[in-house]
Formats: sequence, C-alpha cells, structure tokens
Amino acid sequence: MAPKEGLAAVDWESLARRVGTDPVFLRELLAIFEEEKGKHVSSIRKALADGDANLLKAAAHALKGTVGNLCAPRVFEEASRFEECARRDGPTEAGKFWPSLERSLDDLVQDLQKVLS
Amino acid sequence: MPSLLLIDDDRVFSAIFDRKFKEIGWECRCATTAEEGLRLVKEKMPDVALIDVFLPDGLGVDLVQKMKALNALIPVLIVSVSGEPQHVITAMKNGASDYVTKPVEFETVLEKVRNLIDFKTIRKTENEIVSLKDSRFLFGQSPATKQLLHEISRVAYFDSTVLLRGETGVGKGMVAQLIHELGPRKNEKFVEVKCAAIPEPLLESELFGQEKSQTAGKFEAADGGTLFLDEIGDLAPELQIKLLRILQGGEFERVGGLKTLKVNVRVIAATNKNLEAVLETGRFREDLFYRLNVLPIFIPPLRERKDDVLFLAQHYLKEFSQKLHKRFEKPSAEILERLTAYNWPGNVRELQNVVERAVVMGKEPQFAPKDFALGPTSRDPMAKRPSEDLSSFKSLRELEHKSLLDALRRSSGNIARAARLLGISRGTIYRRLRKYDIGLKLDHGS
Repeated sequence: MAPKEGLAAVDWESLARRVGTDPVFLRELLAIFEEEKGKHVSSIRKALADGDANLLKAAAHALKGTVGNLCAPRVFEEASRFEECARRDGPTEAGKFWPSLERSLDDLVQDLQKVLS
Repeated sequence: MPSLLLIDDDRVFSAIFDRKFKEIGWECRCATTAEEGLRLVKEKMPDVALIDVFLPDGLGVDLVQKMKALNALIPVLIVSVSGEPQHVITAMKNGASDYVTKPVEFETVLEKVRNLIDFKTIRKTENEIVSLKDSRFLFGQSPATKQLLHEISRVAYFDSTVLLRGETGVGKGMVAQLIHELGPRKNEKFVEVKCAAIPEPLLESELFGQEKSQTAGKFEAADGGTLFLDEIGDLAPELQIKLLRILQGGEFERVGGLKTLKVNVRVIAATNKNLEAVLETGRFREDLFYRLNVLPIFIPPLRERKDDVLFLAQHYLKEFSQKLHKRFEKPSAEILERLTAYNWPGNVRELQNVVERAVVMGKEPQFAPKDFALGPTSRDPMAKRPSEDLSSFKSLRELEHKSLLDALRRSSGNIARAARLLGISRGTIYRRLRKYDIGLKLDHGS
C-alpha cells in the first residue's frame, strides 16, 4: 500500500497543459479542490468510524476522481489503492492506510498553496 | 455555437472543462446532480451531454435513458473514473455513444464530442431531408452527393460564413437554402442576392440600402437570418471593402447615410470562379476571400456524380409530366444510356431543361430519343443558330453592336454573363453599352 517513490506531488508541466497557467484560475481551482477534499475526507472519516462500507466506497471513489484532475500522480495512485482496498477489503482494512493518504492530501494542498500564493 | 451539458459532481473537473469549452466558444452548462441535469436538458436541449457514472442522486446510466426518452438523437459521452466497467457497459446499452476514463485531457474529450456532434448532425440532416419531402432539395444518391450532404450537415450547424464553390448549374442556391433551413436560423429569413445580375451602381443600394429614400438593403432585410450572396466573385472592389467590414463586425452605413447600422446576418456566398486565380489578378481582396472561406464547400459537377443523373431525370420527368398533364412511359434504355453517357456541362440546370423540353416536345405515351436534345442546344438556344454572314454587316461598328445585343439576349440581360460570352470585362461591356446607347431595358428581356 506504500506509494511508489520518485513520483512528484504535482506534475506542474502536465497541470499547466491541462488547466493553463492563469494564476487566478489556478487559485480558484485550488479553493474548489479544498472544499471538495474537505467533503470527501469528512465522509471517509465518518464511514471508517461507522464501518459503513458503501459510504466508504463512494467517498473513496469520489476522492480519487477529484485528485486525478490535479496531475498529482503520487497522491492519485495512493487514492486509487485506498479505493481498491476499501472496495475489496472493507473499512477495517482500508482504515489502516487512511492516515497516510490524509497526510498526502494535506501535503498536496500545501504544495499547491505554496506555489500559487 | 455548439452547446454542451456537463453533469458531474466532481466540481474540479467541471470547472476545468467549463473553462476550456468556453475558451473555444462553446456554450457550456454544468450540473452536479441528475435532477439538475435533467432540468437543464428540459430547459434547453444541448447538442451533446457529458455524464459522470456516479451522481449524488443516482446513476449516470439511468440518466442516459431519461435523456434519450426526451430526445433520442442527443449524443451522450460517459465520463467515468477507472474501475467502473460494468456501469460503462450499461451506459452504452442505455444509449450512451462513447465514454472516456478520468483523468482525461480536454483534447481527448473535445475530439470525442466533436465526432458525436457530427454524427448527430448528419443523422439529423438525413432525417430532416427525408422529412422535408421537398423537391427544392433534390440531390441524388451518389457517393459524391452523400459526401456533399455530410459537408452540408457539418456547416449548417455552425453559424460561420460559408463559401459555396462549383460550376454554373450545380445547385449552389439550393445548397445555400438547405444550409439555412437546417441551421440555427431556420425560422428566420433567407434572402438571396445575385451579385452579377444587378448593375454595379445599383448593387450597393440593393445590399446596404439607400438613406435618401429610406430604403432598407438586403442586409437589413436578412437581419437575424441568412443572406445568400450569389456570384460573389463579380463583386466590385469598393463593395468588397464594405462587405468585409460587415463580415467583421456586422456594421455598415446605408448609401448616403452617416448613421452606422448593425445587423446579425449569416452570410453564405457562392461563386463559380476560381477565386484563388482572381486573387492573383488583384480583382478580389485576399482578406475578404479568407473571411468568406471559413467553411468552404465544393459542389461537384453532375459529370462527377453520374449515379445521380437518372435519379434526378426520373424526378424531373415526373414533376414536369404532372405539371403539363402528360403521361409518359418510362424512357427507353437507349435514352437512359444517352443521358448517363452525356457529360452535362450545364449541370443540374441543363438536365432540368433537357427533361422539361422532352416533356413539352414528346409525343405520349413514348419518348423518342430526339426528344432529349443533348449538346449545345440544351444549354443555350442561341448557340446553334446559323452564323450570320459577316459580309452582311456594313461596318465593324454594326457588327460590334449586333454582337452586344446577341450576347445580352443570350444571357437574358445578365451583364456579367454577357461579358463572359464576349470575352470582355464588365467594365468594357458597360462602356460599349454607353457607346451604342443600349439601355438597361435589355436586362428585362426587351
């Protein structure tokens, strides 16, 4: 479940190609991402606490999709593995890997904020 | 402007794609739930819909079905995140046209939706052409014609300027009318101007209106609709500048007027000239050419779509027979063979004339081969006239005068065509008309 080494948090070149380089729009996008991430993280925490497999699957899936937009291959891969584990093994097993993914998500936001501020 | 509806609760994805589609001039609306998506579809049918597999209030696959119930032709592109193959399969079974897997680049999605719109438009066009059941839009069934219909359906959909190219008689006017009737302005006016048929001094007023007499021109008449400018290659240089300005910003002044007027007109221009060659002579502005040539369509001559000859001939035979209350049996194999073998330099117009003449001249119930007069006679009733004995003219002046009158009669008073017949420019023919005091009454056939 450990993420592969050597994958940059944000592939800026790909992000510029996909989204453009307008800093105003990039900041807007980051704000939307933070809101969406907040929603998904809350749902996942709740699903893990309640042992709600369906909610966990749905939230993990949505989180993976949202992360995928930002050209962050390492975090995307981690989110994909988390979703796979949630679907295959359920909340208890997936819960073991959640703290690591949550940290990666925070790091991703910080990286983006640093560059875009 | 194509319109797209994006139904996805991934707001980051929607924000990126909304911006990208708007950047290239598309109308993009976003919904985050199935309910909202369906409401937007009912408000205004989009040209294409992008739907996520999972939505907060239901599955995208079910939404596809509901949308298709509202409009079976609407193309749907499913957007999925990897790991949902069963839903993608169901979506396709429910009528989705294609799918993409996130993360996905904008260019990939754009290519797919463009193809879907093309496909939808072609289907729509074919359906509409069939449903029109209108002899004004008669094409045929040859591969070249099918390709032409494909191109018509593509350009009809957009609102850009179209340049129709093709020989005299191929049906440029019919294509222009069809583009209008299949396009977004179909409920507005379709106004036609034959640029070469109107004497130069009058054409400016005809197009842009006259302030003194408070007469609106054709641009004003076509406001909101389509203006078809036929024989655009004959437009005088000063009018080319005015036309360029109107194409750029829709603005113009009436002749003699100071007030700037603004119109919203889709222009479809047509020419039988090789405009690239005319550009080199400097008689046609390069900037205007590129402004007109946004969506070019070449209408192939009838000799390049021989499969259409019999189809069209049979249609015209029926039409003219009904009109003239005559009843004929099917033409013999020999006649049909001659019609197919002939190369139709006058194109569809010539075919129409040949068939009309055959119906008029033919003796019921059987056509004779001689009823179908092919060759110069069919194109130009003057061409086979016995040539005048030159010695009968007293002077070169008299011969020139006679030639001018002949050319004007043969072209039904069309100055540009008469000039072409004589191999001289329009400017020269006007000078000669003044020289011999030949009035424009000839334009009306007297």
